[in-house]
Amino acid sequence: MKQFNLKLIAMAVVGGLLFTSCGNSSNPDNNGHHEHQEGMDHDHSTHQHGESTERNVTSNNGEQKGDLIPVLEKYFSMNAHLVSDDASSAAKSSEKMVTALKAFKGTGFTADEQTEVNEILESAIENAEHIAENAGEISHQREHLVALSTDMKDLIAIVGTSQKLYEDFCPMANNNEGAMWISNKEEIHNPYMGSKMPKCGKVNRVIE
Amino acid sequence: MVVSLVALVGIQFIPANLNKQEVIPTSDIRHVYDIPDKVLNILETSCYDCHSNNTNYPWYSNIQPARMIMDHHVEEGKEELNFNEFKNYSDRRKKNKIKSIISQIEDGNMPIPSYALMHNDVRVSADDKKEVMKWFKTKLKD
Repeated sequence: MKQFNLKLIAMAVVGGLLFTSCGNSSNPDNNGHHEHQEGMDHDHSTHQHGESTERNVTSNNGEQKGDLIPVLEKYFSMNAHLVSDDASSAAKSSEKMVTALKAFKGTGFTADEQTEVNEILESAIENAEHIAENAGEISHQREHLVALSTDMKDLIAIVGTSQKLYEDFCPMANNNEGAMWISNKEEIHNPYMGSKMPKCGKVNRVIE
Repeated sequence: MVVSLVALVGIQFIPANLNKQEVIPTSDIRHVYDIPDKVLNILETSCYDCHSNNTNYPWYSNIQPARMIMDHHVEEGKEELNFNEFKNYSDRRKKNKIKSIISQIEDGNMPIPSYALMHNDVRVSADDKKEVMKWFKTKLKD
């Protein structure tokens, strides 16, 4: 089920952990396991990507199979509200995200990709609906954000992106089990910890 | 007084839904995983009333407005999670559902406290809850 088309995703793992396999589009295991490859304390802001890697990344990013911007816009604003512990605004953004998810149409998917995309959308809509319906319970919203963020990551991996995105990870989120989220900013704004620890986390991967 | 009495009699005629299906469908969660008898037993006793196609109706369910409240719980419960339909969920959704099951039990939201209050038999002891959560957690690792 994890047969993602790596043509569409380009990865640059902080610390160069996976640089050797980034350009290898035949390795299906390449996706979805990075966030667990830890053990390094990097300051992402000082990390520079090598020129050759950048070029490699660009060449792997040929086609996009849909426009995720309307979906991601709502996702980012929902996350911003969760960063400031504003559950009711987060619920409103999430409601708009549901609409955007329902309106999403991609093109040029293989049959397998289409099945996967349908499953992701179904799950994402369900998760976003929960966030929209739980304006009174921010912890419940954040719980569904864990799954929704995975949905977004997997959707981006198939559809591609025109924006530069960051896959962030906070080991303390999700009751210390750790959780990732997608951001369009390089600085960390943690939607799981909110005002308690808004800077907790690191960039695990750059998606472009 | 008379008005409320008339109203109480009147609402007895509100039609009730019936959530009954004696045969366990092949899409039930027990056909997805090998569930320990004890865990399955707890699920059937304490969860299936609202989270399956087969409700075990208590005596007061024949009286309104109790039935209306119950019908509403069953409708919402099944939409959220139907153990009878578990096989039909995608792997992604199965995982979502299991995560939610664990956190809902953990947070004390399920079984719904008011429902557990009315039914002695559906109340789940803390140890049993732990056992159910522990088993579901093993399924997240698969």
